This record gives sequence, structure tokens and C-alpha cells, in this order.
Amino acid sequence: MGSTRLLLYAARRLLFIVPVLLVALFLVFALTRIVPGNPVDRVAGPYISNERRAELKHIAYLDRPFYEQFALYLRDLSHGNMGTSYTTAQDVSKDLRQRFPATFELVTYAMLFAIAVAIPLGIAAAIKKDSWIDSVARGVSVLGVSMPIFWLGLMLLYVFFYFLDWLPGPVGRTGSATVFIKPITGFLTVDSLITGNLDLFGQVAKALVLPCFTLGFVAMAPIARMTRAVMVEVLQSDYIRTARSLGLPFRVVVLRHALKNAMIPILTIIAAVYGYALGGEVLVEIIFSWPGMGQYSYNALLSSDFPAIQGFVLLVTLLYMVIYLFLDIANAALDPRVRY
Amino acid sequence: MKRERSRLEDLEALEAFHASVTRRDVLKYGVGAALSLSMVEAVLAACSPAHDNTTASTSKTPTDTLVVAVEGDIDTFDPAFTVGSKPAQTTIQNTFDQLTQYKHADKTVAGVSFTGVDTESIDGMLAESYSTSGNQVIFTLRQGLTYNDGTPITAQIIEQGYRRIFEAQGISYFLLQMAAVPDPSHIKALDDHRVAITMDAPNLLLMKNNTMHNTSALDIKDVKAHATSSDKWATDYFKKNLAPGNGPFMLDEYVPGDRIVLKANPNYYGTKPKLAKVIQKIVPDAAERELLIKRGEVDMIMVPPVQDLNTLKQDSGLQVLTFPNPRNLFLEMNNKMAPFDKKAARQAVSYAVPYDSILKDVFHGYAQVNRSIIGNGMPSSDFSTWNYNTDLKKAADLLASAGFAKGQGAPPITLTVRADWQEAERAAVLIQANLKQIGLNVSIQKVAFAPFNEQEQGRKLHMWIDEWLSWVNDPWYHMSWNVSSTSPTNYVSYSNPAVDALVSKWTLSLDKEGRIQGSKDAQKLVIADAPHAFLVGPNWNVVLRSNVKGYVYYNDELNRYAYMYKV
Repeated sequence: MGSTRLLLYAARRLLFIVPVLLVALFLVFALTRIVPGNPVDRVAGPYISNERRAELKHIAYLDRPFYEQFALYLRDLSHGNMGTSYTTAQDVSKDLRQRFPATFELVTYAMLFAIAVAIPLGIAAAIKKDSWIDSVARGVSVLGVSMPIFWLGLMLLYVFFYFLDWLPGPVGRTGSATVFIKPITGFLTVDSLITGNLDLFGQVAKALVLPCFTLGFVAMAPIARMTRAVMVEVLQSDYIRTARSLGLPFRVVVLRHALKNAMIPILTIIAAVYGYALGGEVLVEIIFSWPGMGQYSYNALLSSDFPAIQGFVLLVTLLYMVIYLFLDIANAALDPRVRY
Repeated sequence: MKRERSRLEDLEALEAFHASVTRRDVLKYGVGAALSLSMVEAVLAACSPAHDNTTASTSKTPTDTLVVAVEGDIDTFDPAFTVGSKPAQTTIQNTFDQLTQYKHADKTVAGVSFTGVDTESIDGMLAESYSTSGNQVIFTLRQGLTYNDGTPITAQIIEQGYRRIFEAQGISYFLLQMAAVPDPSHIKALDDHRVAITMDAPNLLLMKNNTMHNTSALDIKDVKAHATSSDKWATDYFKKNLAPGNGPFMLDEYVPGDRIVLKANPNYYGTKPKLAKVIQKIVPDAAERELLIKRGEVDMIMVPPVQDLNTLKQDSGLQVLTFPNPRNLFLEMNNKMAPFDKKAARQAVSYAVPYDSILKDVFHGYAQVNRSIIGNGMPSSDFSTWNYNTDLKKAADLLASAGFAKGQGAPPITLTVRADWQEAERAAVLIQANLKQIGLNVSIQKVAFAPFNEQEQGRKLHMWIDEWLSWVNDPWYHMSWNVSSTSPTNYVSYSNPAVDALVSKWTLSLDKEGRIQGSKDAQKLVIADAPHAFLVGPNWNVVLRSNVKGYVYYNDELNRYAYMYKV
């Protein structure tokens, strides 16, 4: 019975995704057409005849009123057609499929790093409130919030690549490698291990360090701060005091009783940051010449490549919604007070 | 009780986080961080590795592999259509040979000596020889030529390749039309090894236009294999797929947004390349390309930041090559918009431009004085009638004679520059300051690449900065695009019937002397009309690791990796 209700709840939340996507699409569709710039003129160049130019605009529906363009876009989208990019000249869905693994790998490792550091740091800061470790946690939080991501990325490059020469420069996912492999999963760390290419694995891992740290450091700040705040509150609650007075080991009290109860807001902030990182890592990709969706969307913006911009926004919105869906389901499963 | 976790809770969580970071925290830890960073910097400086302006790190790439940081991704792999991406054009140029090519020559332009090409001297490539008779050129193909998939290259395949260019209306279609080859019926295979191109009027342009990578012939078998009912010439397929070529290199791998890898073609008919592999890594940021070559991560970069070239020159691990060329950097004035619809106003602007400052402060010497529509190194270039040395008094007088004394009555002027072009922006600021002194109010507008192109092509810009380099080193080719009133790229809408008459008379003429004199006459007219101000002639700059040799400068600025090697 419980699982049926959970499924119904998930289905209801899935339906909610549709209007949100429509609103996001409408907004981005309107914005791209308000700003000056026309992809056909850019692609066609000056040499093409006016007849051919008009034909290209007709094919792209650009000679029609805005509402018609939007309706036709939705019609194509309902058939799984996201349009053709003007900059890459291939289906936007194929472009995004090619670039998604690079972004996903970067963001996932960055988030794993952020979580692995931020949660222990937040817990330690809460336990040792006002101690030096609390000061470190506060320092990390303040720096993470206040340092612009592009500045941090450039500084890290300057120090660890240019100055110390410990890590590869901004040359994308493969660092200094000169021998490559055909992608299998798209995760190069995984693919290089599957194929037994340890040299490439080393290069790929080294290439991930700086972009992951840049993105992870920014993501770490809110997670550490939230973990500390919630854990301070939970550690002062009656049931924790009771557990301690019963003589339970402190580790068990913190990890099994306090942390479990603190996890819901922590998960919420992780989901928010993960969604932000998926859509907001554009700057990191530009700084590190990372061939992912962020760089793709940036080039699309510069080129007024409408279908590519729309495709990117659609995918990021969808991912964001799916992350929140999983979060809600996880919350419902974790917290017996939540009903659905 | 029904309880569903809401977005409000998320907001509360975020607000709680923000509320917990106080201003005191920001100040306290911000100052702490600043101090720590300063200390880190001081420590790093104290234990500085062997890395200063005069001693560079060593190259980290294998000797048989050239790693090049390129500026961007490809536009298309179709030779007939690539127009806006140097990495795409370079890939095609290195994987496809044309019928003919320019001969190498030691050159000196504007006092700089280098190995380049003699654009008046054309040698065989796929064709071992050619002969001209009247309005026909017959190319005789080498024996035993094949594409890299083993398909023999015959005269019939070359004919079909040209037919595709015409029928698909690729960029080279315009180049052939300009050279009086109006349709594919003018290109015929005489037998398996001979191709004849017939011109409607004999001219000197055909042989030059026909050396360009855009004329590369695809194998008709590959075209047919990927054609569809709506795309007879498979133009969609070849946008992202490079056809089997016949050049010194083959495409090994293309990863969108990341790299284009070439490997040596083992069956190449000509001299085998010394490099086994060329990795072109896509690094859009010029400053990052500079860091990469300084650390030895890459062997070659193009379009380096101009302001850093003098510092890079001091680095013993690097070579800075600079090539003066006919490139024009224009201050464009829309000849159809006030006040630039008056010749005197355009001349006033030409007198007001701070040429020396732009040369020294913006280009740091990596540009040449340019005083005509025909720039440095192009035959017939003639600066002798240019007399617009910066003179604000003269500029103010001319502006008054145009009816805009001290700028009165002149509309506000918008000077548009591309947002990603630092040199243009710096030049714009200097120009703005001088124009203000003669009473013209100029506001600078930075626009992204796409809207800039759209507005320029639509003739909607008022005043803007742009550049032009003709790949074909011919004055009439250049003027056909830039000053002919019917040219699609005459963005300033310049029109002078006398100039049009000269373009029409000399573009297809065989009279070499007459073409040179005619070009000088046309330059004189254009300089007097001042449709644009000729700011400078920026050099083409390349930075190589010191162990990289064999770079040859071509007018199309595309790297020929077959001549390059590492020691």
C-alpha cells in the first residue's frame, strides 16, 4: 500500500514537471528572440543569395510570428526533435548527448568532493563549537560564498599549473595525454580503467582536480554551513541528551541519531547545490576548456543559436526537476512524518 | 495530517545559511584570506621555480607529435562550405590536396623576412603539370593517386567534385564564378588523367582562386553513399564527417569542443610528413593558450595576446613569429548614414584618427602602417597619395565644411566593436577621445559576434571596426569584395562609378602591367573618398616552442603541418 502511494506521489510530481518545463521554455524562447542576432544571417554569411537566405529563414520558421514559432517548436519537441544547432550543424539532442558526460563527470566528482569534505567539517564544527575547527568551517564557508568562481579557477591554474607545474593546464578532459580511447560510458575515468589504460586514467584524474576543486569549493560552502547549523540544533535536543545519558558511545550518538535527523535539510541543500552546479558550471568549463554542456551553451549564446540554447535550458530544467523529485521521494522515505 | 516538503523550506534553509554568514564573518575571514593569499604568493615567489621571462620550461610533448592549441571548434568539415573556422579549414587543408599550389619563397615584407609563398608562381599538387591555352587550362593528374581509403583519383572524380561545388553552391562556387567559370559544364574530364577548365574570358584569377582548400574535390562515391533525396550532395553529412582525403594527413579523431587529431597518411604521394600526429586542442581563451605554451603543454599557438608578445620573445623556450601581411584593420563608416554620407565628414574622421597610438599602444609594434585599401605585401600596394596624418585642426575644418562645425548638427555616433576583440575595443577608445575633440560625440557599443555580423551584413551599423584579409593575394580580387558597389561585402555601402569601372575593366584582364597601374588609380580614388579610415595592418602572429621548425606562412594563414617537425 505504502509503495503504491509512493508511486502515485512520484507520478503526480512527474506531471508537475510538464508545466514547469513549458514555462521555462517559453521564457527562454521569448528572451532569445528579443535580443538582437539572427542565426541564419550568421550561418549564411554575406555571400548567399537573398532567395536562399529567405529559404533558410523559412525552414527555421524565423519568418513566422513568435507564437507560431513557439507552437511549431513544441510540435517538433513532442516528436523528439529538439532542432538543429546552427553552430555545430547537427541535432541538438545529439550535441547534448555528446557533451553531457563531460559535464556530468565534472559535476559529480565536484559534488562528491564537496560532500566528502563539507559534511565531516560541518559535523566537527558543530561538535567543537567556537573552536579552531569551527573557525576553519566558517572560513571555508565565507570564502566559498565570497570568491568569484572564475577568479578561484584562474588563481588555481596560476598556482598549480603555471607556477608549480603540478597539474595540467586548461586543455579539457585529457590533460597532457597524447593517446586517446574511444568513449564507452562517457566517464573518462571509468573508460580508461575499463580499457586498462592507466596512463590515460592518470592524465584524466589530474585534469579533473582543478575544475572539480573550483566547483566543489563553491558547492562546499553552503553544505558545510547547513550541516553545522542543523547539527548544532540537533545535538542540543532532548533525545540526544537522553541518548548520551544512557551511555551510548558518542560516535553512535552523532552518526546514527543526530546526523540521520539532520539529513533532510542537508539533502535539500545538496540537491539545490547539485542543480545549481549542473546549470551553473559554465564558467568552470570556459576556464578549463572543458568540452561539456556549459561551453556548448556559452558558444550558443554568443552565436544566437536558438535551438541549442533552448535545448540546454530544457535539459538543465529537466535535470533540476528530476533531482528535486528524487529528493522529495528520498525525504518521504527517510522521514516518517512526511505523508504523500 | 498531510505534509509535503515545500520549496518554502528550501528557501528557509538557504536564508538560514545566508543569515548565519554575518558581515563580521565576511570582513574577518576575507581579510584573513587576503593575508594568507599574500603570504602564499610571497612564499611562492621566494621559492620560485626555474620559470621567469628568460628561462622557459621544457616541452612535454613527444617529438613525433605536434600539439597545437587552436582558437575554436569547427564550423563544418565540408571543404566547399567552411568559411568561419580556421581549425576546420586547417584540418581540411592538411587532409586534402588541390590541383595546384603556390611555390615556397623567401620573402621580406615591411622589413620582416620569412619563408612564405610566391602567389604569382603556381606549381602542381594533385596535378603534376598544367598548361594554359587561350581560355582553357588543362591539368594533368599524377599517376597512381588515391584517396586515403584506396580509391583511385581520376579526372572524372575531379570533374564530379567541381560539379558538387557548383550545384551545392559552396563558397568556391563564388570564387570560380569570379574567375569567369560560371557553371560545371566548363569543367570536363578529357580522359582519366586530364581535366580541362574553360573560362568565359581568360584571366589571371582562376589559377589563384583554384589553389584554395575550398576547391578540394570529394570522392563522388562517398557523396553518393551519404546523399538523401533532399540532399543530393550530402552537405548535411559532411558538416560533421570529414570525407576520405588525399593530403599528407588523415583525420584520426574529432571530439566536439575538445580536440581534432590528425595522423600522417602512410600512402601520401608526396614527401611524407615528419610528424606522426598533430593534436589540435580547442582552447578558446588567448591568455590560456599563452600559459599552455609557456609551460610546454602545447607546441604551437596562434592569435596570442598581442600585448604579451614582447615578453614571450624574451622566453628562450619560445619562438615568436610575426608576419606582416595585407590585412586591413578598418574604421568603417556607413556611407549612407549622416554625417558619413558626406565625403568631407569621412575625411575629417580620417584626419582625427590617432594612427601612431593605435600602432604603438594597441598593437605594440605587431602591426604595420597601412595607408590604402591594398595593404602591405599585396601587389600594387600604394600609400603615396594618403595624406591623413593625424591633424585635429584639419579634421575640425573639414567637419565644418561638411556642415557640422564643432559637431553641431551631427547625429550622435555609435561606434560598434565585437565584444571578444580587445584590440578593437582599445582602438575604439582612442578614436572616441580624438573625435570628441573635434566635436563628434561617440559612444562605444560592444556587441557579441552573432548580432555584430547580422547588423554589419544588414548595413545597420553607423561606425564600426572590422578587418579584412584576402586569401587570394590579388588587388582586384580584394577590391572586388571591398569597394565594388555591387559587392555583398561592401558593408559601408561605398559607391564610386569610376572605381566600379576600374574593377570591371581589370579584374579579369590578362594585362599584368595594366592591372597594377589600374589598381594604383583605384587606390587613389578610394583614399580620396575615405569610405573607411585605414587604421593599421595587423600582423599574423604565431608562437612556437623553440624545438618546432618548418613553419611556412601562407596567405590564408592556415598551418601546413606537412612541412613542420620537431628537433
